[in-house]
Amino acid sequence: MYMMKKIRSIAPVLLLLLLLLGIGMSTLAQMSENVLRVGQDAEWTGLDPHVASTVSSFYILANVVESLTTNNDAIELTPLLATEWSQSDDGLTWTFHLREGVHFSNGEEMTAEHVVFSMNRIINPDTGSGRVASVGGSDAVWEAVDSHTVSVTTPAPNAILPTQLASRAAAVVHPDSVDENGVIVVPIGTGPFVVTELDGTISMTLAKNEQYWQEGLPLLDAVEVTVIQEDAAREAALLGGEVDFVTSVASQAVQALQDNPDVQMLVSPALAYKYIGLNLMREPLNDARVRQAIAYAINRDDLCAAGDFGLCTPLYGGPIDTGSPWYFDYAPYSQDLDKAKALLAEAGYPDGFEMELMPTSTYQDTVRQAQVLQAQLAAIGIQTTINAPEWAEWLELEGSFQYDGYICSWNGLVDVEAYYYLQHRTDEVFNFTGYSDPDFDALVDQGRQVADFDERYAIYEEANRILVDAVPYVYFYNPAFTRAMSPNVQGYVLRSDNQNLYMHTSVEG
Amino acid sequence: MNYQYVVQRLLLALLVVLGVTFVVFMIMQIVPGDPARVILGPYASDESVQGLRERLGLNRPFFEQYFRWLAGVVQGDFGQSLLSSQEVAPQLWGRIGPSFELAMVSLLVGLAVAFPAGMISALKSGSAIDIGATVFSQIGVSVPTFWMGILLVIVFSLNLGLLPPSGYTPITEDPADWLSHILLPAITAGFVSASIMTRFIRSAMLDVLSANYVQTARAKGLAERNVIVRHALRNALINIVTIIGLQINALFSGLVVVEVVFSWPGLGRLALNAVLERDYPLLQGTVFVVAVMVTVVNLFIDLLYFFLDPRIEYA
Repeated sequence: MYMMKKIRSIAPVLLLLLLLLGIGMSTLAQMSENVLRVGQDAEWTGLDPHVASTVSSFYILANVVESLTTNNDAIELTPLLATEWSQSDDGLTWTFHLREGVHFSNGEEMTAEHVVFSMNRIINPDTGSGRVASVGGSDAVWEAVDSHTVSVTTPAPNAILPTQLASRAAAVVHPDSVDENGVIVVPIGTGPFVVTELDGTISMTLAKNEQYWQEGLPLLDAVEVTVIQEDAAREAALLGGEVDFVTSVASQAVQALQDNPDVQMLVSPALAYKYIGLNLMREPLNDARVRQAIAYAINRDDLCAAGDFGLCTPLYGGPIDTGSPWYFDYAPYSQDLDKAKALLAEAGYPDGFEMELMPTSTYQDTVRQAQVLQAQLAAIGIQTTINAPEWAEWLELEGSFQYDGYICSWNGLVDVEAYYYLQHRTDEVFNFTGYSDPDFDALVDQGRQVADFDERYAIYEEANRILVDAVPYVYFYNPAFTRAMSPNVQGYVLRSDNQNLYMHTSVEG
Repeated sequence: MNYQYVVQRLLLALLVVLGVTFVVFMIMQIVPGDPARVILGPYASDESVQGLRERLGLNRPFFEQYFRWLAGVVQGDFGQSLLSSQEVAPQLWGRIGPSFELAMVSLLVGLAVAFPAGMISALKSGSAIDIGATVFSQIGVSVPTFWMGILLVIVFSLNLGLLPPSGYTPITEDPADWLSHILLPAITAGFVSASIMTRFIRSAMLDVLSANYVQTARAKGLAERNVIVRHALRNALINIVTIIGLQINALFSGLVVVEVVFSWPGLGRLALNAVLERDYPLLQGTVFVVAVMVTVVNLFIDLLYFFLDPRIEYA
C-alpha cells in the first residue's frame, strides 16, 4: 500500500522526465541531419513557374527549376542549362547549346525537346502565362536543332533574349510535370532540390536532388519550409530556435537584430523600386507640369521613413540607383515647394486640385506612404483622399485604369530594359499609366536590338531623360531586402535581385 | 429520445449548409477582384488574364460554376485550388484536426477561468472579487485578439523563452510538443471566451439563486454546498450550456485571427487566404466544412438539453 502511494506520488515526475527525454531525443535527431529550417514570410501561390508571379512562389521555385541562362551573385549573365549561345547575322535567330549530362529529378536526361516543350508552354495562350515577352514573344518559334541544341527565331531582332531568359519563370520543366488539366502542381525540374511533403501552401520539405548535375551540390540534405506570416512570430521563431532562417524581417526590427550576437542579419540594396503611378488619361494628371509639380513636392526621405523605416535609397530621377551599371546621372527632383507651386500655377491650378491615392491594405507600407504623401501634397494645395482596397480589388482597379495615382513597387529587375520597356512603351502590357511618347518608343525599340553596352547605355540614357521629364511614375526610392539567420547557418548569399538559393547553404552542427 | 426530431434537425442542417455555401459563393462573385489577376500579379496583360480565366473556368455563368462545384462535392470532389492547383479535399481534411483541437483547448481554457470566476462572483455578488471579475471580463471583451496574441508572443516566447511562438506538432507524434505549441493560441482565443462566459455564468447563477426553490432548499435546512450544487447549478446549467454552444461557434470564426498570428495550420487561416486570393474552390470547401462543424455542435448542444432537463421535449 505504501509503495503504491509512493509510486503514485512520483508518477507525474517520471512522466515529465520521460517527456523531456522525448523532446531531447527529437532535438538531437534534428541536429544530426544537415537540415535548414526556414520560416518564410508568405504562402506560395502555386508552384507552376510559368504562371506564378509572387516572390513567395519563386523563393521555392528558384531551388527546384532552372532556366537556360541565369545571373550570378554579382548579377552578371552566366550560363546555366545552356553553356553558350550565339545570334545569327540578321539578328533574328538565337542558338543555344545545352549542357550535357543534366538530368531531371525523375532521372530522365534533359534534351532540346524539353526546352522547346517548356518555351512553347509559356507562349501557348491556354497556359495563361504572363511571361510570353521574356521568351521572345508570342510569335517566337522555338525549335530543336539536335538533341542538345535549340534555336529561337523572332520576327524582329532581339539582342537581349539571353538576358530575358535569365529568370526561373522561363524554367525548363519535364512534360510529366503537367497534369491532365494542363496545370503544374509540382514541377519536375533540374534544380538542386525536389519538393516533397507538400502541405497545402503552409509547409513543405525541399529534399536534396540526388540527380543534380553540379558536383557536390546542394550541401544541405533538406530544407524544411514553414510559412510564418506574422512578423513578430517569425522573429520569435528565429530567436527561439524554432527555425534557422527567415526570409524577411520587419524593417523596424532590423536594428535590434543587427545588435543581437545570436543572429546574422543580412541587408542588401534591392533591384526594386517603390513609386506612385499617375493616370495620364485623367485631368489634370494628363498635364506633365502637374506631374512634375508632384515630383517636386514630395520628400523621399520621409516616404522612406514611413514605408521602410529608413532602409532605402531615395530616387530623385529615374528608377536605378548609383550601385548599378545602368545608373544615369539625371536627378532633378529634390524637394522644391516653390517650383512645384509655380508649375501648378503655370498648368492652370494655382490653388491645387483634388485627387485620390490608391495604396493597398495588403501591403501596409504603401498605406503609410499614402498618408505621408497626403500631407506633402497638401503643402502645394493638392487635396487627396486615400482609397486602400485589398490586393485582389486593387489589381482590378489598376488593370482597368480606375485610379488617379496607385502606389506600388517593382521587384527583381535586372537588365535596363526591364525598367523602361514593358511599363512605359505605348500600349505595352505593363503600361498602366497610359503614357505614350513616340520618341521614347523609338529609343526603347532600338535598345532591344543593340547588344553593345556603351551603345545601349547612350540609348537608355536618352530614354531615361525623356521619361523622368514626363513623370508617368514618380519614383520614391530603392528599398532593401532582408534575411536573418542563426549563427550556424553558412554560405547563404542575399542577392540584390532577391533570388533565394539554398544550394550553397549549410548548417553547422 | 425522439429520433424523428434528430432526422428533422439533420435535414434542416443540410439546407443551412447548402444555403451558406451558396451565399458565400454569390458574395465572392459580387466583390471586386479576379483570381486570375491575383495569380498573374500586378503586371499581367489582358490576354494572359483572359487565357487563365478560361482555363480556370471563371468565364462560365455563375449558376453553372456553383452547380459544377456542388455536383463535385456530392461525389466527394472539392475541386482544385485556383492558385496552387492542389486538390482541395486533402487540404481540408488536414486542417480540421488542428482547428478542432485549438477550439476545444481554447474552450477548456475559457471554462477553467469562467466557471470559478462566474460562480464566485455570483455567490459573492457585490464583493471585491465580483467587481474584479467584471473588470476582467470588460478587458477581455475589449482587447483585440490580434494584439493579445502578439503581446503573448513577445512576453512568453521572445522575453521569457518559455513557449514556442508558432507552429504545430500533431498530438499523436509528440503530446508534450503539441501542448507547448497549443498553449499560447489557446490562451489568446480562450481569453475572450472566458470574459464573455464569466458574465453569463454569473447572471445565470444569480437568476436561479433568487428563485423560490432555492429559498425552499435553504429553508428545509440543506447544507449550502448542496443547495448550490444540486439545486442552483443544475438549473443554471441549461443557460450555461447554451452560451457554451454559442461560444464554440464564435470560437470557430474567431480562430481566423489566432491561427494567422500563431501560424496554426487550421481552417481559419486557410479561409482567410482563400478570401484574399479569391480562391473560390478552396474557400467554398472551407466554408462547407466549418458550416458542417458548427451545425453538428449546435445539434449536439440541443440534444444535451434532453439530459440536463428531462422535461424538455421536441415535437
